[in-house]
Amino acid sequence: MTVLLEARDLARVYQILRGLFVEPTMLRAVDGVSLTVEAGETLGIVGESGCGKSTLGRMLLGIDPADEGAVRFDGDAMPGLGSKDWRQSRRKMQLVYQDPLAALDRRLPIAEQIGEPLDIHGLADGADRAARIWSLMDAVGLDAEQADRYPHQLSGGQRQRVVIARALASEPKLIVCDEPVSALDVSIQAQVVNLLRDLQQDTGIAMVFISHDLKVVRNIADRVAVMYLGRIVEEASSDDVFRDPRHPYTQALVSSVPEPGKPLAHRTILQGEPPNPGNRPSGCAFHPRCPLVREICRTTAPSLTSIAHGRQVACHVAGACLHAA
Amino acid sequence: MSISHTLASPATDAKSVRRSRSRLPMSVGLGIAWLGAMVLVAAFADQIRPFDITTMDLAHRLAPPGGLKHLLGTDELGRDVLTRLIQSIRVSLVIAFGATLLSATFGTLLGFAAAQFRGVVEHLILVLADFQAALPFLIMSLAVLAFFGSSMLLLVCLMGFYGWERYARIARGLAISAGTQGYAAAVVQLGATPGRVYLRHILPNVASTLIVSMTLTFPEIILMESGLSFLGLGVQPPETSLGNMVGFGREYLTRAPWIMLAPAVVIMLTTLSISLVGDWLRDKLDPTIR
Repeated sequence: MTVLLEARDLARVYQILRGLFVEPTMLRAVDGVSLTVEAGETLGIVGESGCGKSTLGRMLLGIDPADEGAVRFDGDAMPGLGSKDWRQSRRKMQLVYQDPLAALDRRLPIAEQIGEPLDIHGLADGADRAARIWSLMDAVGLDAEQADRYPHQLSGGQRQRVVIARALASEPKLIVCDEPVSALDVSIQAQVVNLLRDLQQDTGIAMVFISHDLKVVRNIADRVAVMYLGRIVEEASSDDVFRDPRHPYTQALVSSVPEPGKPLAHRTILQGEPPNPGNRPSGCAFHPRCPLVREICRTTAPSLTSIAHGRQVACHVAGACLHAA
Repeated sequence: MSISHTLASPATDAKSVRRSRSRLPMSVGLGIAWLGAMVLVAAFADQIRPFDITTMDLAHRLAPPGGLKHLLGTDELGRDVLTRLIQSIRVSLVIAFGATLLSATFGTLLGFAAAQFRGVVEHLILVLADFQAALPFLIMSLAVLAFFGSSMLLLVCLMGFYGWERYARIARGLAISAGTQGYAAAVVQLGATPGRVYLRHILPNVASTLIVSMTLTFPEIILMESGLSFLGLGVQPPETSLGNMVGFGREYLTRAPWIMLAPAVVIMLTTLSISLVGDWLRDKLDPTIR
């Protein structure tokens, strides 16, 4: 497998102004994240709201600049935001949005919008362009007669299909899906997720799938990275994460997914306040809510260490347990 | 029977709604007809006016309208009111259309520039817009015209500065909101150049708001020009404009009201038509309410 995208020590820092004469607070929305995406694989990124997963997704695409660290795509450094090289590089990587209605221009028929990447990058024109648009619409399950419709005339699921078709039009090597189904009905969610999975199998595209919904991620991802307050706390294959989560936060997340026929009594319910990225706890950011907290957790932040082949955990306790075993 | 009826009714309802939507409302039809007539009058003013604008008929001074020779009567110097009205329509329409387009283009351009470049450029443009909004426009116009003398070109350009700050603010605000989240950001992300994003996506989306703003600016420019002409710094006699005619006709309001009423009616009907047609056009350009 070749590495398609490589991110090293990515950080995104926002300044929070508290007043004219007060020192601004630094908010590290993404803090020292390193990850790789291999060609053709799906990496799921999960975590609760505000943990920086969307920001990370945008940084991987170079839409948000990295304050620290760097992204390499296909061996090349990410060009500067808005430059000519950056615009041309969009052909190879695309974003699928959370809210398809907001991401589509309500004044253009959907066929025009699907064909837009072809026009922008000069990939096809005339009859070739029409044929490409038609085959894209067919691939995402839209009828040819819907070509002249406007976004507001379609259902939520159909709109998301339009967004996906547009993202695929330039035949990118990577698409980042930022909560692509969270705005959709549950019944439609499954259709869209299955569509994405089928498309990935057909085209061999690499995908970063950002979601707070573990069921969906489990369904689609090969590997999963769990984020907490801007850092990756556990990274492993999808099967390992869901079958045998190691980090206490991952354990709580996984146990929160209801399963039919299983009583709810044994769920790990997290105590304490949801985290505030502006006021990061000392040591391990998760320690105020952690059921297994030790003294070292309050003072020293654990680093992401490899505990088995392809498994990384950032936890003093989980790592220790494993070494003891 | 009942099932087929309930199935059929939404479709026929939708069809009848669509038909009533696509039909031109009568007020809009009249507005378009009036504006068309005005444009024709302005274009062929030289051919259709019965006299020369300075021709005096001293035997028939202040003749009331309805006469065979002077259809709309004559003014205090015996000049034909219809002739002067036709010439006024030409002059005023050129100023008002030219200035409205100029200020809309200029303002929108600056607003987009502010949204695109942000930072210093945006601050500078906003300071200029505030300056423009705070400064009484009439006083600035008086200063400029008193200094450079009045000419048609200068007048159009000067009026073209009227109201640009509104377009700039509207265009900037809408472009920023489109750019931070939504369709414009999505198109940028597809790799489009800023020119494509602004011309193909943002401009059509904000056009409806700008058109409404234009329908508001148009009558204001006619009134502004009237005010300047009335103060003697706008269109210079013997040349005439609608505002100019109203201004000079004021003295004869009691004895010869037709001198003033004729241009006043034209101003009113034209601005009303612009409002009606602009409003209709805005709805028509929006696919979401078609």
